[in-house]
Amino acid sequence: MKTLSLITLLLALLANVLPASEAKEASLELLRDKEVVDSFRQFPVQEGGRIKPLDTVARFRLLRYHGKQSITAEIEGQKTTLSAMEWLLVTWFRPDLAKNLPVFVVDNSDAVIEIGVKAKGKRDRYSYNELLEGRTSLMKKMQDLRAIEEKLRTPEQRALGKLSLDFLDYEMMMSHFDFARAPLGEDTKNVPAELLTPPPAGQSRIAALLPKMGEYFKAHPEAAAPMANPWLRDFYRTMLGAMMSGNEEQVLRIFPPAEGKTEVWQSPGHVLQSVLETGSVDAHALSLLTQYEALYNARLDAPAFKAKLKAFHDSVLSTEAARHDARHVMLEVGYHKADYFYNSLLYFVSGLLVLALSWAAPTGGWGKWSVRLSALLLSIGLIYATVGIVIRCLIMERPPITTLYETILFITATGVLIGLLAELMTRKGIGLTVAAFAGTAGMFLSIRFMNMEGTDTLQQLQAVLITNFWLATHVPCINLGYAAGMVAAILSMLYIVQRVIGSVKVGDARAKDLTRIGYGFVMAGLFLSLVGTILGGIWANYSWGRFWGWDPKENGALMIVLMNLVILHARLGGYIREVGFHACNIVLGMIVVFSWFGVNQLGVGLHAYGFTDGVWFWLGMFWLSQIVLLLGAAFVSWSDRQSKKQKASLRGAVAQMN
Amino acid sequence: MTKQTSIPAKLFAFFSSFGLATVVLTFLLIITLLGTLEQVEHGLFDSTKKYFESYVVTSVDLGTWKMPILLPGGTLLMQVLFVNMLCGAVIRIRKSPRTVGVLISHLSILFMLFAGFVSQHYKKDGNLALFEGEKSDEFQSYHESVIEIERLQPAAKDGKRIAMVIDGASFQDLSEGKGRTFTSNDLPFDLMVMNYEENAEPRRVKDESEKKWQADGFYLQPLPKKPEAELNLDAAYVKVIDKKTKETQLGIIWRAEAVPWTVKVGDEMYAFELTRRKWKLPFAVRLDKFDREVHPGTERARKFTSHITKFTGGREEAKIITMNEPLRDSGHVLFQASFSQDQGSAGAPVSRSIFAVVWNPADQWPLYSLLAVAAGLLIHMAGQLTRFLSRSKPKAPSLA
Repeated sequence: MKTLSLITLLLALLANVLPASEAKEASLELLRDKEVVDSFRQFPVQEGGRIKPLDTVARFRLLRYHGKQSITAEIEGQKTTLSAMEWLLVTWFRPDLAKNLPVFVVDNSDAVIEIGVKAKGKRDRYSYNELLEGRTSLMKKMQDLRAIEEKLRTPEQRALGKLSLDFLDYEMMMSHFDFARAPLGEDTKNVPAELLTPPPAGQSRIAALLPKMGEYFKAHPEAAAPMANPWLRDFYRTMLGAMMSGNEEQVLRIFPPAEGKTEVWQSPGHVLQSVLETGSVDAHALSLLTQYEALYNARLDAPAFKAKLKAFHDSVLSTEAARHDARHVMLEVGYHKADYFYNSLLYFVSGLLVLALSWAAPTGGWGKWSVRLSALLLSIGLIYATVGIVIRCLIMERPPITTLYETILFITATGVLIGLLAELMTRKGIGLTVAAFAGTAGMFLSIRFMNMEGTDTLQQLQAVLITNFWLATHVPCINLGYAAGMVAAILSMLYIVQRVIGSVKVGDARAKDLTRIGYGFVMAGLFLSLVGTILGGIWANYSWGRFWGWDPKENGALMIVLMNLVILHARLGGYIREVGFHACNIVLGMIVVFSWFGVNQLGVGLHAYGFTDGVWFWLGMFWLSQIVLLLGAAFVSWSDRQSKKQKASLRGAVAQMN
Repeated sequence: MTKQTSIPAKLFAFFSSFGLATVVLTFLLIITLLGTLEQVEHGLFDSTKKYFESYVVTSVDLGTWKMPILLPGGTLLMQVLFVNMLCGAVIRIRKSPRTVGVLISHLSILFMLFAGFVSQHYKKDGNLALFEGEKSDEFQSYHESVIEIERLQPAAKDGKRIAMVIDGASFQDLSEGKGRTFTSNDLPFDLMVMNYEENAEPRRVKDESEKKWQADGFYLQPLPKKPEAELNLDAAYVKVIDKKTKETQLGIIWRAEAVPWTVKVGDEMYAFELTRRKWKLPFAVRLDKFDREVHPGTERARKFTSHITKFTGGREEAKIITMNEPLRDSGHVLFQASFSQDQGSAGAPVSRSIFAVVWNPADQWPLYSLLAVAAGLLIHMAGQLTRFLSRSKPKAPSLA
C-alpha cells in the first residue's frame, strides 16, 4: 500500500500528459447502448473489501467527484445526460471526451484560484482540461498538505486536498486501458528492442509483452528503477491506470482468483505489477487480462464488442462461481436502479404538501380527504424506505444499522412509522404531521449526507462490530431512542410555532394533545435510550472488559437518558408546565442531534466513525434554529404570564366593583 | 396555620424531592457534556478524573475557552442521586399497583449505581501481551504506577523477590521539589521519593553545575503531558538512605527504563523499578498462534483470534479468544484487545497478541439490572399507555 502511494506521488509530481487518444475510438452510441451499459453494470468487482457491481463503483466515483450520480454536458455538439455507468465507459474508452466533461465539483472557488485556474462561480464544476493548467501547482499543494493533519486543515485546504486526489484518480481512470493502447508509452525510442517485437499473428499484445518483460528484468535487474528509464515510468503509469486508484482499498479488482481459498481479487494493474515484482505472471490472471484487452480492441465493431463483453463476463462469473462471492450483485444493481430513498422522499414531500392543503379547511370534506391521501402517500414512502433498508440488510447479510448513514435511514423510517401509529391511535392529525416532517427532513438529510460523504454506503465493518446479536439489539434500541427523542422534539416545535402564531392557545385541546403525545414519546425515549445504553455497556463489557468508559458516544447516549429524566422529574415535581415541557423537548432534540452526529465530529473515542466535512455547519444551523424556537417559547411563556396577570387584575377590579 | 416539621423530616423531604432529582440530573447532564468536550484536548483519562471521578469541578478548559467555575463532580452527584432515589423512589413513594413499575426501575438503577461503585473500588483491569510461544500468569494495570523494590542478593529462601511495593497514590503528589520517605522493617534502608513527573525522560547532564538534581550524570527533563494517559512515561528521583551508616545514594527511576536501578546496601543488592502494578492470574496462559484476518484487499480488520493454552495446576486446556468471545475463568476475563507485529530474532515477523484482563466482582450486575429496569419501565409504560388510550376515546353520548 505504501509502495503504491509512493509511486502515485512520484508520478503525480512528474509533469504528465496523458497519451493522445488514438484516432479511432469507440462510438458514443456504443458506450450508451443499453445492452452494453447493463452488462458493465452487472460486472462483479472487489472494492473496499467486498464484492459489488461495477455500477456501485461508477456511481460513487462520480458522486465523489461531481456531487451527483449523473452528469450533464455538451458532448459532440449535443446536450447529453450520462448515467454513472455511461460516464465510466466514456472515461475508459473515450478519454478525449472525458477530459471536457465538467466532472469536478469545487465547493470553494478559492481552491481553484489558489492553483492559478480562473474561477467560475463560488461553487462550480470544472473539466479536466480546465484544471490542467493548474496541475503542477495542484500537485505541489497536495505534497504540502501531506504535512498538515487532516483535522487541522482549513476548508480551503480540504477542498484542495480533495480536488488533487480526485484529479489524480481521474487521470488513472482515463488511462485504464493504456495497457491495451500503449503499455510502454507513446514514445518507444528508448524501449529495449526485445520488448518491441510484435506478437505472433492472432496473439494478444499484452500476453506477449508481460512474459518478455519478466525475462528482461531477470536479465537486467539494474533496469528496474523507474527514474532511470522513461519507458518504465510510462509502464508504471499504465499499471496505475489499470488499477484505477493509488489507494489500495479503491483499486478496481475485476479478476477473481482461480484458487478457491484466495479471497483477494486482482486488478489488471496487479497483473502488470506482478511482472515488476516477481518477474512472472499468473497464467489465470493473464488469461483474464488478455480477454479484457480483447474487449478493448473490439471497440470499433459493436457486435464483436458485445460478444467479447459477454465472453469476459462469463469467464469472470464462472471463475467466481465456486465461492459464490457475487451472489448479491444483481440485488445491488436493482437496489441502485430502484432508488428507494429518493422515491420515498418524493412520497414524503407529497404527503407533507397534501397534508398542508388540509390545514386550509380541516373539518370539511376537503380536509378529510386530504388527510387520507396524505396518510396514503406517507405510507407508500414508508414502504419504499423500509424495502430499501431490508435490501441493504440482504446485500450485506447483517442487521440494518452499522454506519452513521444507516442511522439516518432507520431513524427516519421509524420516525414516520411511529408518527403514523400515533395517528392511528389518536386520529388528531398530529401523528400525521410528525410523520410528514420526519420523513421529509430525514430523507433529505440522508441524501445530503450521502452526497457529502461521497463513498459507498454499504461498507465492511471493523472486527469488533461484526456481531449480529449486538447489532440487532443495542444499535436499533439506541436509534429508536433517538427517533423517539426527535419525534418528541418535532411535536414541541409544532407546539411552539403554533403558539407563537396564535393558532393554539395554552390549555386548549390541541395543546393538551401535543403535550400528552409528547409526554408519551419522552417516556418511550427514556425506555429505549436507557435500555439501549445499558445494552451498549453490556456489549462493551463483553468486548473490551468494561461496562462504562465515558467514551463520547456513550456519554452522548447518557445525555439523552439524563435529559429525558430531567423532563419527567421536573414535570412530576411541577417545575415545568406546558410551555416549559415543550421547551425542554427542544433541548432534548438538540442533545439527540449532538449525540447522533456531534460526537463523531469530535474525532476521539472508540466510536469515532470519522470526520465528515460540512457537518458542523449543518449542526450549527440546526441548533441555531432551535435556539430561535426556545426564544419563541420564552416569549410565549412571558405572554401567558402577562395575560394571567391581566385576568387576575380584571377579576380583582370586578370583585371591587361588586 | 403553619405546619410544624422536624429537622430530620425536613431533611428527608429535601433528599426525597423531585426538585433535588431534577437539579442533580441537570448537573450530571452538564458535566457529561463538558467532560465529553474536554476529551478532545485533554484525553479520556484526565477528563474522567476531572469530571466523573471528582467531588467538585473547579475549571472548564475547552481549547481557547478557559474559565474558573464551581460545579459538583460526578462522584458527588451520583452519591446524592443514590440517596435521592432511595429516599424518594423507594421509601417515600406511594406503594400501589400503579407505582410497581416505577419502584422496580428505581431499585434497579440503585443496584446499577452500586455495581458501578463496586467496580470502581474493587475492579482490577489491565493487559497481558504475549508473543507466539510466550507464557505468563500475570497482567499489568493500564494506568496504576507503583515502585517495586526487589531484593537481588541474597536470594530470598521462600523465592519471593519483591521486597516492597509502594502504591502510586503515596508518591504521585510529590511534584516540584516535594519528597517523602518510605520505610520498612524488612529493609536495611529508607527510600525517599522526590520530584515525581507524570511524563519525563532522563537526559545526560552537559554542564555539571547546571542542574541541581542529577544522578549518575543524568537529570529528568519534564515533557508535556499527552492526552492519551497510557503514552505518558512517569519518572522520579529516589534516594536510598542506609539505616546504619546514613549514607545516601541518589538515582532516577523511569517507567521506560530497560533495566532497573540497582543499589548495594551493606552486603545486599536491591533493584528499584517504577512500573505498572502487576497482578497474578489464578492460571497461566501461553499464546500458541495468533491469526489476523482482514477484509480482502484492505487493511481493515475482520477478526483477531488467539489460540491459547491455559495451564491450571497440572492441567492444560486449549482455548480460543476472539472478538466478542472472551475467556472467562475463576472470576477473571481475558478479552482480545489488540495485536502488534515485531521483528523476530530470525528476521521474520512475530505476532504479539494483547489481551485486556479484568477481574470485577460486579461483572454481570449491569445485565441483571438491565433486565429489571426494562421490566419496571415496561410495566409502568403499559399502564400509562392504557390510561392515555382510555382518556383519548370519545365519550359515549349521555342518555340522560
